Parts: sequence; C-alpha cells; structure tokens
Amino acid sequence: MRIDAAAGGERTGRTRNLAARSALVLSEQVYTRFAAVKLTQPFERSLQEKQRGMNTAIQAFNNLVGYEVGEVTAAATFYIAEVYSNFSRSLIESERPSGLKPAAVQKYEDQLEEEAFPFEEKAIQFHEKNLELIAGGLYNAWTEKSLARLAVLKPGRYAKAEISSGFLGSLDRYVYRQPARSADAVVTGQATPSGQQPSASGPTTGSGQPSSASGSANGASDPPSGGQSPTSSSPATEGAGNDPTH
Amino acid sequence: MTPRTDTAPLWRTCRAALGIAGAFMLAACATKPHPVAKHAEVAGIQQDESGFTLTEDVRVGADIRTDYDSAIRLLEQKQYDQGIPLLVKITQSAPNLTAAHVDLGIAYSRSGDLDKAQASLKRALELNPRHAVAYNELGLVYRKKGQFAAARASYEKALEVFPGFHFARLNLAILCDLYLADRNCALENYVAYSQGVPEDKQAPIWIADLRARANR
Repeated sequence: MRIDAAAGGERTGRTRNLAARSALVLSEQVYTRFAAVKLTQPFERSLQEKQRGMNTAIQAFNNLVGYEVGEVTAAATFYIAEVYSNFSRSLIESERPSGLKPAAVQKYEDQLEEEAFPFEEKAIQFHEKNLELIAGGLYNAWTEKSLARLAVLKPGRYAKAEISSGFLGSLDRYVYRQPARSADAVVTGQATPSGQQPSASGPTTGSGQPSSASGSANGASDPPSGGQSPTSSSPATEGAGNDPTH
Repeated sequence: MTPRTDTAPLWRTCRAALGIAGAFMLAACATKPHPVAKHAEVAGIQQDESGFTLTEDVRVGADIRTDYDSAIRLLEQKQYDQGIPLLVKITQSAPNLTAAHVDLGIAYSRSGDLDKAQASLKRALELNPRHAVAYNELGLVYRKKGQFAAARASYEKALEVFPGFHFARLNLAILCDLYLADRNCALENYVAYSQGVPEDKQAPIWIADLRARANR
C-alpha cells in the first residue's frame, strides 16, 4: 500500500490492485473489531465505543473506493452496509437497564427500535448500491453477497430464488404438466396422462395438488410440483438469498 | 407433433443419393449404424396446451439402468461425490443418453462445478436441441457464472419450446428483476408465471411491487 501510494507516476494497475486488496484485508480487521463490541450497561460508554468503531470502519472502507478497483469497491460497499446493519442490530440486542418496570421496558425497546431503524435503512441503501453494480455489468461474490443480505433485510423485494425442475429421474421419458393445469385436472377428476412410464408430472407424484410455487429466500417454501420426477426428485430453489454471510 | 427421429437425415440422404431404383440398397443404408442410434434412437417431444413429454427410445442394458437409478438416489440425498462418478461412468459407456447428461449437469451445478455443469448441459442440448429442462438448467448455470445475457437466451429457448414452462418463466422474471434491472421484462414474465401458477401467492405481491416502483 505504501509503495503504491508513493509510486507517483510509476503507479501501475497492478500496484493499485495489490494495494487495494491489501487495504481490504486490513479494513476487514477493523470491521471485525467493530462488530465484536457489544452494547452493554453502562450503555452510554459502550455506545460511544461502538460509534467510534463504526466511524473508523466506515472511513476505512470509504478509503478503498479511491483505488477504483471494481471488486474492492463492491467489497467496501458490502462492508459499509454491514457496518450499518450491525449497528442497528446491536442497538436492538443491547443489554437492557436493570430495574425497569414492564411498561418502561416496552417504552425503552420502542425507542431502541426507532433509533435502530435508520441504520437498517442505510444498510439496505448500500447493499442496493451494489446491485446497481450488477446491472452495470460488475458481478462478483460481493454483489452476490449483498443480494443475499437484501433477501434477509427486505425479503418482499429480494427474497426471490430461482427454481430448478430437479433431476429427471428417468432415461426414457419426462412429463411436464403446468401446475395450474394439473390442479384443474384434479379438480375435475380427470386423470393426468402419465402412461406406464415414469412420469414427471405433479399429480403422478401423489401430491395431487401443486404446492406453493414461490421460491423464497433460503429455500424455505416448497417449489412447484410440476416437472417433479417419479424417483422423488424434487425441484429445488437456487440462487439469491441463500448465502447470508453474517 | 411428430417425434423427431435422429435417423431421418441419414435416411433422406440415402434416398436422395440412390433414387427410387436404389430401393434395394436403401435397406442397407437404413441399417447402417448411426452414432446416436446405439443407445438412444429416437428423441422426441410431444406437447399440448397443458404440458409436454420428452421421450427417448433408450436401448441400454439393465446394468446401466440400475446404475442410473442408484446415481439419482445418491444425488437426491446430496451425495454428489458418489452420485456424480456413477453418472459420469454411464455417460462414458452410453454417451448419447440425454437424460444422463441433463442430470449430470444439474448435479455439477448443485455441487458448484459450473464449468462441468455447462459442458454436460450443452452436450444434452446437442443430443436434443428441444430439451426445455436442459435449457432452464443451463440458464441457471449461466446466471450463477454472471453471464446474464446467455442466461436470458437460455431461458428464452426453454420458453420457445413450451411457453408455459413455469420454471423458466419464473427464472427469467427473476433474472430481469434482480440482475438485469429490466423492469418490463420482469413484469411481463412474473405476470405470465402467475397465470400459470396461480397458487403461488408471492407472485402477485411481486407484480404489485414492480408496478408500484414503476409508478414512483
């Protein structure tokens, strides 16, 4: 980093790249130290320490953007978002003062949530900045991690997992039936064609009804049954929202 | 729809070369071994408005079928380190089994080996260029690799084969929504998906959200 900074006119893409990656490693250590600080009683003192850590970490990651190395910029953006997210979460999970009556505890927690909310919003904003990099053609592990975090922070918008139809499960024949059509067939009492060969259609798997077709974050919900294979091969959710890192 | 036969081009070539007088010799042409014919003579797709059926006239021994069933069982249990070598063995001894290549591609993809997944799925599509499942899975692989234009093309190919193939429809919608920032494409495909899968209660919410953002 020092060599790159002092290189002046001899600064090359390679020295800049190496310096940026080294600075990222050092900044990650700053983040780790910040994240380790818990908000305990006496609250004011631990809050000040946490705030100092937050400012230092954000400054460190902001400095990385100056290197103009795409992947490092994406990493810095990811970490700045995580700093805000961690601060928000730390407020919510902070140690409560002792001796409060239940009504006072409730009021205290409402206040904490009110204080924490803007930091979570900031976290979302920075992760969304990384998504803009994807649309701009920069796709890497950091942008993908931001997407995974957004699936947790803002699931209604981002927890959308792609779906695989699953293993075919038969060498000879694969039958696909649209879930809506399969459901119609069940409702009207019609048999869905499957023949003697193993079928991949929904009803022949024994479920009769297609299950919820939404791919959700972390694969929590069932994917659709259309295209399911006879050997109990199950469609699977893929992609975004499956890799929260913190 | 008439199933496409892999032997048809060979037959047409022979017929054109020999003429009607060569009918006697045609029989010889027809029986000439075809590279694809060894294990899978006919690969076809039949479809109606509710779905499609992919068929392949597979002629392999019981040992290969047993190995295939074992491989699928292992892969379903996420035992990729055992299931994948078994499928590789099958594709080596019977290289024209489309389903084995598709399943191998899916297995590689799930185990994180995206280059091999891509190669297996492309091989499957060489054997059956109308394999909607292979196109959809290849789209997923391309997306994971960050090759979004290729992913989109692959999903669109699956939908060319069968527009109601809801797996590819949803995947294309998500690609356009989250990765390409193509709101119109996302909306169009979420709507089509939701019509095909009305029991998915999330899709109408996503559609409403997209419309609301478009109006902001």
